[in-house]
Amino acid sequence: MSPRRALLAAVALVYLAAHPAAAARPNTAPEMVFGAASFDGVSYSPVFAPQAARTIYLLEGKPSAVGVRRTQVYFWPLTERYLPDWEALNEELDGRLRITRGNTVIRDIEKRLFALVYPKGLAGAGELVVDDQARIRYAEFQRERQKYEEAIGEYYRQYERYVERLRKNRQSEERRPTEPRRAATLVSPPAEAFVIDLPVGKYQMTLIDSAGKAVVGSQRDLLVFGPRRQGIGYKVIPPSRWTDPMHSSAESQTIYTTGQSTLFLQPYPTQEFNELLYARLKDPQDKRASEGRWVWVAGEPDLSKPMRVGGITGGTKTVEAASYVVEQIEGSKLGYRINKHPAETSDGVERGFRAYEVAIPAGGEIQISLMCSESNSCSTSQRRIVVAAEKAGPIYGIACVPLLIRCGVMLHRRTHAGRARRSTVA
Amino acid sequence: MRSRSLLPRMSAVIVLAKEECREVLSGPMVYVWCSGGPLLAAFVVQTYLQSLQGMGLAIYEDPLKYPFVLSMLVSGFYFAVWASTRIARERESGTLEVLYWTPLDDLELACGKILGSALAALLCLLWTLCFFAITSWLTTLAFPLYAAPCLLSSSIFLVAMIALGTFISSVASRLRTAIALLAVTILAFLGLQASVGFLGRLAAEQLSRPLLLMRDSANWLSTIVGVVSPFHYLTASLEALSGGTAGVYGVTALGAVGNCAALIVACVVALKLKGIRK
Repeated sequence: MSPRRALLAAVALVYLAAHPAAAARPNTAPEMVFGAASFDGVSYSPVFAPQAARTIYLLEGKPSAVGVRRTQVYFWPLTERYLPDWEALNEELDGRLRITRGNTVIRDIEKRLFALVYPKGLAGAGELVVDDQARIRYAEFQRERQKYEEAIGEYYRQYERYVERLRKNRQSEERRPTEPRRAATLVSPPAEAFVIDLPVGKYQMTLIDSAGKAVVGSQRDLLVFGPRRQGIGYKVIPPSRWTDPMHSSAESQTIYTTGQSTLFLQPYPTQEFNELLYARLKDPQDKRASEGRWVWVAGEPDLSKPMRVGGITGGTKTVEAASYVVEQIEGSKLGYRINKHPAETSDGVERGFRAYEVAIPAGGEIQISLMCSESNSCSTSQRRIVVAAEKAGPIYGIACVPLLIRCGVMLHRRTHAGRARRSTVA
Repeated sequence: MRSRSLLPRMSAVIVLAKEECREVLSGPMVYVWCSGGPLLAAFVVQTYLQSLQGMGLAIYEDPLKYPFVLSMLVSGFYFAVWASTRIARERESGTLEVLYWTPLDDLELACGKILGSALAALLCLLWTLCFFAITSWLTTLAFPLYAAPCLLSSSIFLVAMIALGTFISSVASRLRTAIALLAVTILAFLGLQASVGFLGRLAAEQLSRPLLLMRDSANWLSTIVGVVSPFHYLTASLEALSGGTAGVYGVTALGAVGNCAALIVACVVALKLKGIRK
């Protein structure tokens, strides 16, 4: 290569390296995409499925809402996924959704009005309501919200007057006005979508237009799956680390402690799903999950049933859930103190949790279970809580037993052979 | 030889198996490895207990499962190495030719060698189970896996490792070649399994294009290699046992038995093709 060409190549390389790739504007293309509010075992997750995601995953047992739209889609290389540009194009497609299995039509689904209801806020469980219920629940929610807005307006007026009086009198016997509490329930505005509730299986779905023809590009696979195992899990809260609790999801798990201690337990319904299917349920473009792994999904804590605590050697007793308040230890030493207390303090701020308190005896083993009736414990709610040994020293000795036996045999043989040799010589 | 009935063939296999088993047990190495596996397991158990002491609380499903798998892997390695030396050594020293003057055919030779080593491996397995039962009793860590299915999985794994070693031994002309081939095979199986696990845990955005391609290729290769790898069968069957999926366990166990049978057939074919001289 001549020096001139080499210089040109070097300049080109420097230019290419310095040119920021991220500044490139991504190419967008119009696509028919599926959007869904999928039930994820606890609540509803928003799902986006472009043409690149050929399969949509749903859970059995609860309805999910699916919509078909046309939008501009672009590839975002940083996360390696296709994303929608709703601002550029957001066209809802009408028709009915045909669910088939092979050549058999399973169901033709028309659009229905639906709304998502979150009784304990967005962080809690959600439910999907349809048709009139969607309208009624949303109207109720709006009425509640309006009532709250009026109440909070009144509160601020009262509070201003209270502060004014306090400023004038310096010392006032008057009680500070109480701030109204916002209702936890949230309801999404009613919208139209195809509400799907199918048993476990592999299906195909296609959008059928008003002329009865399949809309080109709307064919997708639909995989409905269920949990491998389900049961009752426990959030285990040790007093020293109440901000960092542990979870026991399966009955086959054992809770190990190191000695005499107290644990706080919060039971909740739990389900075990295939990691790949569950990840694709939430994001059909997911490439991270593995098919060979399993994931536990925890539901909302349920402390309505009494807990039976039984020692293997001692008797049994029943424990009811109670509210506890957490206080930091005074002074420079770090640590917490957990006391029985109503969960809501006078100012309405939650500073604690509700749980079952279980005392673990030193060197003991206890079994816990939730009582579904007076005499029967709920299945899969049993757990063993065991105080484990501190040291593993003796097992090293036991591991060496085959080696010791072999050494013993060798020594015996040598001694025997030595004796035989001596007797032969003699 | 081909026209012989089943009974004399069986008795020939049993005689060879007894001799093979006696030879394994009379050597010192089997005792070293039967202690080595539990010693490694004891080390892992100690780290579990130390971690529990540090945290004050731990939740385990089968705390002794991984130490047990580790122990089984150690035993599996030993028996695979042992099996890989058997036919290759005899071929190299010329004593394989002597065996062919006896009323033994290729199938009986392969079955006898595998069965003998498998008997010794089962004794080692029984000791390992005893060790874990005692460990469970001393540490209070649960070991619910010593039920029949666990015994079956581990036995199948050990037999599969022995069959793999015997197959490599019947292919190789020299002892050194056999051991090198076995080492490469085992490293390839384990390396693939480890790379699939490692790359699978990384998020797509953490991986560059070559790594993504490598991950997809490793997944694809792992599916194929999983059919012949005894390690895959061991981990899959123990996973199925933990998950309580009897169907998956049954399919995995059947797959492992099929793998053993295929390796025995491959041994016979290799012995026929390779012959008795190096």
